Amino acid sequence: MAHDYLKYVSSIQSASLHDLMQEHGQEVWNYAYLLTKNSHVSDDIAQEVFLQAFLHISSFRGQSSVRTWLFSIARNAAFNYKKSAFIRKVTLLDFLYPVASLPSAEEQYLNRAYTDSIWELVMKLPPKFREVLILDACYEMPLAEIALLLRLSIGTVKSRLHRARAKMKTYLKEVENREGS
Amino acid sequence: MKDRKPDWYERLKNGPFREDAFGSDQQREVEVRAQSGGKLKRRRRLNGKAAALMAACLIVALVAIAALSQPFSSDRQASVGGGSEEEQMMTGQFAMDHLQVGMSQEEVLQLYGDDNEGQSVNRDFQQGHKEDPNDMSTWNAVDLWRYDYGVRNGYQVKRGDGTQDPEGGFDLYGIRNGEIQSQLIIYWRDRKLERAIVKMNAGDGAIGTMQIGPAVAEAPPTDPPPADDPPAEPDLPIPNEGVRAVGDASSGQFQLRPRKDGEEKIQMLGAPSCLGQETDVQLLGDYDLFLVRPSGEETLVQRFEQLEMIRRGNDAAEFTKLDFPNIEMFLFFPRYTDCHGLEFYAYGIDKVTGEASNYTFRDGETDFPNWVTSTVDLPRASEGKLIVEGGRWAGQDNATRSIFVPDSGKHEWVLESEERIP
Repeated sequence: MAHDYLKYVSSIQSASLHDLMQEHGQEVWNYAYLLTKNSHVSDDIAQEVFLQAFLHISSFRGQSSVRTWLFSIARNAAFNYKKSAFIRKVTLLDFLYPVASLPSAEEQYLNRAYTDSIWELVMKLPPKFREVLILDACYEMPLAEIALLLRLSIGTVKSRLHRARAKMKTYLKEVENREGS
Repeated sequence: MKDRKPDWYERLKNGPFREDAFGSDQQREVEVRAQSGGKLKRRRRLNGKAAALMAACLIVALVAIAALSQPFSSDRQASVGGGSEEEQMMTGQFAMDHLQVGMSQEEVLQLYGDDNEGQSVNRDFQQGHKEDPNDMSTWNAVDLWRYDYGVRNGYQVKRGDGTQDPEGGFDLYGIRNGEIQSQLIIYWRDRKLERAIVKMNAGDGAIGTMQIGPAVAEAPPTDPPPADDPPAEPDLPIPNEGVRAVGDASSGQFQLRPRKDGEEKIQMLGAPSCLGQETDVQLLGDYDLFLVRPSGEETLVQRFEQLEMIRRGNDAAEFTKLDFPNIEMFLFFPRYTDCHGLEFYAYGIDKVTGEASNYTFRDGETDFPNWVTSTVDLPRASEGKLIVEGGRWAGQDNATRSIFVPDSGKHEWVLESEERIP
């Protein structure tokens, strides 16, 4: 793997940081988006991931691929974002002033920008199923690495994946029925 | 059995979006923040030219600063060329002049930076065990940081184990042969500097040693060990037979057993690392955890698929027992040490009903089958709550102390609060 050597280094040169962002930047951004469903937050998380990678490269021990390591930083950042007071406040306001269930302008724009309409269905999945499905299907990550990243046992990953696929099958069937009628 | 992927997987291969969301402007912004040491907060997007100009200025300034501070830098890519001897002597002397027993980790980080490699080990000894300050193999926990100086470009530093004796942590071959100018190892006790040792190339294949802190047992000769001596191989347990872990409860015994029809793999680790010694035993397979009552009745408590365990010998690992007002709690650590944190599972026995169950960890809406603890500060019970100190995960500067309260009805440890700790 192109960046495997990073497990032996203690600092990243600017050029390597640039290469790292070129190779994994969009993947990390996509992953952040699939976790948060918010493009502005994903911008911040993706930046934070590469900044933290730059500052803490010595903590990368090569137990996983560089991509998985970057994803683990993204996951922590998304986790912190979800726990932040800001998001709690927004959630509370949403509760006090319920808005119509129409998608936001951003969601409408991003829905149109999807490479395939199947992504709309993926985004409907509950977060814990969505995450494991995209790591398997989109990023083709081995189950052992998914387990490492999500801090789950392989058995739990398999179980979630099974349920995620089952839900997707149901969604796809519904779409098929709608289009057929 | 090979996993058969659904046909619609193909439609997900190209990712969700056509356009690149993480473009050159964003990347440039990261570079600018990185060169400022991460201190610049993202406020607004710079235009491309301004960002590039700022990045260029910062890179030039950093290169100049790096050149001026070279004697104390720990750049592993440093050449061994001109000035190396000065750098090596400065490093050893610098350590002796500036390090003191009792210093905090923060103070050392300020002096030496975070460009170090850490090793931690936590050992389970029987009750009554006494530590010998001169014999690290008797310590309940060893926590060390290693700094490398003047590593020849392209040389891969040997990562030895310094948790048994200090010599093991140094790359003596590299120092003796000039591949590394010097190495500094700092040992910690309760996050305070306990001792520090510097080894340096003293010319003609000799190695110089300086140290502060308590006397360390006489170092073994620095001649290279007979490299071809294979480590003594223990008799490995027979796969798919026996008991791999036990926990003695008042109403029976927890027994973790490999499935008879499973494909348990047992082997030695083969090479030392932060995951254990080369002679440690690695077990991988499917396991069932039973509670065996004194009457012989067995209750299945949990099934594990492809669980990995690492242990120091062939004996069954022992669950750690913690006492809570209504529950006898047992923690199971599949590995005894790790690079970052130790994964553990929790099992409780209701003191009234005698029911045994697997306790999961609930954080908000998410239910985790296990949690991860620091390798040094293991979970403890306090006023009916479970206190877990988390490791320093990638991307986090601090450790976290998580406080759980039991929900014995749902068999869960519910995360009540978290606090950052240094």
